[in-house]
Amino acid sequence: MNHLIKFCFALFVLCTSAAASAQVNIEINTPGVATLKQSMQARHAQLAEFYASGAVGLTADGMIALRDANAVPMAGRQKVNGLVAAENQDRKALYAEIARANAHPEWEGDIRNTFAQRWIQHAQAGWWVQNGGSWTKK
Amino acid sequence: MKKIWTVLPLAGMALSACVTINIYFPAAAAEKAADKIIDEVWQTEKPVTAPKSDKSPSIAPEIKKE
Amino acid sequence: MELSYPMLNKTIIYSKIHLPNCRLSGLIFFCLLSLSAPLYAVQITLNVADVAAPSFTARGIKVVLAQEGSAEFSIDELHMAEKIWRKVHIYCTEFLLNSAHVTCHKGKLDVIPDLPFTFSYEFSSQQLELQFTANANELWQVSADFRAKPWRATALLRNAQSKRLTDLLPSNGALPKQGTLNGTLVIHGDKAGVSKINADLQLADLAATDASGLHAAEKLSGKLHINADRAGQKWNWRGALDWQGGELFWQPLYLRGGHTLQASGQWDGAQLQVTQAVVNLPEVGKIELNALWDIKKSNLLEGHLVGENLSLANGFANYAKPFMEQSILSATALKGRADVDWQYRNGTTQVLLLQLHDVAVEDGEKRFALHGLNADIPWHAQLQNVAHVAFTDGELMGLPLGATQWQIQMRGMDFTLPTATLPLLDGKLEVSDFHIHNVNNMWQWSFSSTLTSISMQKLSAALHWPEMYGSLSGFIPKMSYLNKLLKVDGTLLFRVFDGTVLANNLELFDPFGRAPRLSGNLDMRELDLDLLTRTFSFGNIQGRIDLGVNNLELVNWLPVRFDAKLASSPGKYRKKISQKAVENISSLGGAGGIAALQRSFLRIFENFGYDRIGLSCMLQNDICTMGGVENNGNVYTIVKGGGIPAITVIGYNRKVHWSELLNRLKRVSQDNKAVIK
Repeated sequence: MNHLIKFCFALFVLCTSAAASAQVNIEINTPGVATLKQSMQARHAQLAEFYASGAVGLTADGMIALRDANAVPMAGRQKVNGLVAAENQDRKALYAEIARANAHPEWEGDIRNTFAQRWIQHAQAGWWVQNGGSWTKK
Repeated sequence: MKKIWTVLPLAGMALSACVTINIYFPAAAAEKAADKIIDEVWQTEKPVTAPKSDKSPSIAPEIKKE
Repeated sequence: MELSYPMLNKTIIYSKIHLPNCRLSGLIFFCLLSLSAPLYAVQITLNVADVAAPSFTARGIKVVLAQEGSAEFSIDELHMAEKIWRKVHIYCTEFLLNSAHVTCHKGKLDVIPDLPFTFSYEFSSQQLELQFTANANELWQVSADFRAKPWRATALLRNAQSKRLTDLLPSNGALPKQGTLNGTLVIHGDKAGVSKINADLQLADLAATDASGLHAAEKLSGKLHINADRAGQKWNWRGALDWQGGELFWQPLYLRGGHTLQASGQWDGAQLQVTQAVVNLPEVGKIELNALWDIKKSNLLEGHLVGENLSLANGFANYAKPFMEQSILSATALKGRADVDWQYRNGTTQVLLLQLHDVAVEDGEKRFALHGLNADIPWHAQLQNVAHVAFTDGELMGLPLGATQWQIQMRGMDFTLPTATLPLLDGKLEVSDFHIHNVNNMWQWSFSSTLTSISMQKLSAALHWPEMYGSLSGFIPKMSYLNKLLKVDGTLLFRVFDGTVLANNLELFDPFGRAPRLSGNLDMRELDLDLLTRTFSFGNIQGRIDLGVNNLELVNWLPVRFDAKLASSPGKYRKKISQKAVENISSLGGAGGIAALQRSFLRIFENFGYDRIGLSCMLQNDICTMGGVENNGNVYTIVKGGGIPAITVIGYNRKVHWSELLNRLKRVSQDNKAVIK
């Protein structure tokens, strides 16, 4: 019976290690992710001032939105519109690309939710973030 | 030896039970991945040093005289 | 009614006030209270429960008349013109009410304490004067003569601060913050109400914004002139607007002054008819239009817009592009001129006649361009028609396009191009059955085509590839685009390096997006290694190879996944590999191999014989799993020796990082270029 116990214990260890390996990693080193990351990084240099001024805020669904156009001079509002649209296009593509690169396109929504929380978590103090539908200053 | 025969079917059952693993959304890994991307996009952290290169020679000509 | 007179030296006269179209009703009761105070502090308080008139009610009115002739009115709730004011407080320094007139001098409304007013009304002549004046020469003056037939009211504004109108305007719209109004507003009326309006207003330095800042104006100046006459239930109106300066942001449009508008039409409360209007768009041109607008549903019922010789550069950038931030045209610049005739009815565009004259289309991200574009597009929703489109040259994804003329058959949202030729480099793309249609607001298209031979030399130069030789030709049975997915049905055939390349199951997702994704299979046969190694300056190898690439996936034109297998082609041909090539193959595995060869006596040979070459790479998760002609555990043979002198190249590490492999390849080709120099 001693053998049986040992064997079962070995199996248990094996199973847990198999389960651990099923806890897959999220692959983000793909050219698609790299391109989108680069594009967003370049855009961030332009967007940062609008996050800081409160003109643009981080939404609860992992996107950004024009929150208060009054914080931008009139002639610049159209540009902010464009930046927000382009950023959201990239963000949507990023979530889809990560899901696809990990061979689980159905994870897109989960990835988007994860990102939504993390963007807000990482947001600098003074930036505006959406919290259950309403905007709050971090 | 006799014991093993009783163990084997059990092992088979246990094995088949542990093979069917559903892959759930790896929330923790996704969070880590998101953090990494966000850090890079927002440049909140200095980028880590470049990945080490594989230096070991892996291909070599084998010279034969015929 | 309860009235109690104290012993006062003041008489209270109760007089009924009749205003045209206005009657006092409801429960009015006066409660006149005398204070038990001494005589020198006499005051009279009147309480009125409510006063009601059409479009006007006041509740909880309290009037306090003091001995020195002043009066205080407070109203708990005032409804006027669908607005509610609470706790309105009016103070008159001198209040006089007698049988001839009622006047209020040096009056003050507590909501606008900085704007004292004077009010007078003559009962017999029914003349009203109301005048608000303030510092800085500000004047709001209303004079009315209700006895005249038709009755008349005139408003005169001088340096009137526009922000005072904030309370009167809908609070969710753009509200004025600063700026002045000058001008007159004259209203005539009869028993049936207002019958004539003349307005002549001038705006200066107007700033307005809504809460979100999406609708805002700054430093706006301009003139507005409106005349309107009522005929029965209908109003005939005529107006002119001259927007002289300032800027306006009306999400998503940003416009600057210089616009003018002359318009006339009818209005009957439910519909606004613009029978004729001319809009002058600065740096674009003149547009004539007429329209029928449903006011309640606030939508367009009918519209007709005609513009001739419009400048597309500003026209597109200012008025069209802001609506296209999400589309592929968001980075496009147009030049040239256009004639437009647009007719809208029954909720959809009925006719769009578009003529383009010498137009240039350029994508800011250099994905496409067309020059010398001339087109005549007479589109009718119900009729079948032919569009003529021609351009002198263009560019698509870096590939130059030659002069082209197309005749497109249009039937509603369905466009067909039976045959067309698109010159591409030194060859041409013959397109047939090009079909584009719109289903559920999504455009989809398909065509089949033949590509007559393009020189690879020119193609590789255009795409900034290493110079290649040979030609590219092919037949595409069907190429289709739907939902961002570009799909090739059938097999694409290329002839390069004296061999053939077959591409099938090709799919390109989001071709104009940030990260286009290409997938498919490639099957290359009998490529000439001599041409190939020369092209990529790899050191000469002679012979022929077959290369199969399955499950290829490129994202942003970089490989993510593939299963590639390279092997010597079957058949008899000369097989030689130069020492340089052996070195290069070896150096793909790192630095050690070359030294081994250099040390041996074999360095005296220029070329070696080989029997077979084979190399495979299965790329997945950035790791290339390599294999060769023969595989034995971790060891694989890349070049199997044969002939004299023979050389065999063996690889030892089967897993290599793709980025590392690329670095090595880059180093090899760079080193060799340096040698050639």
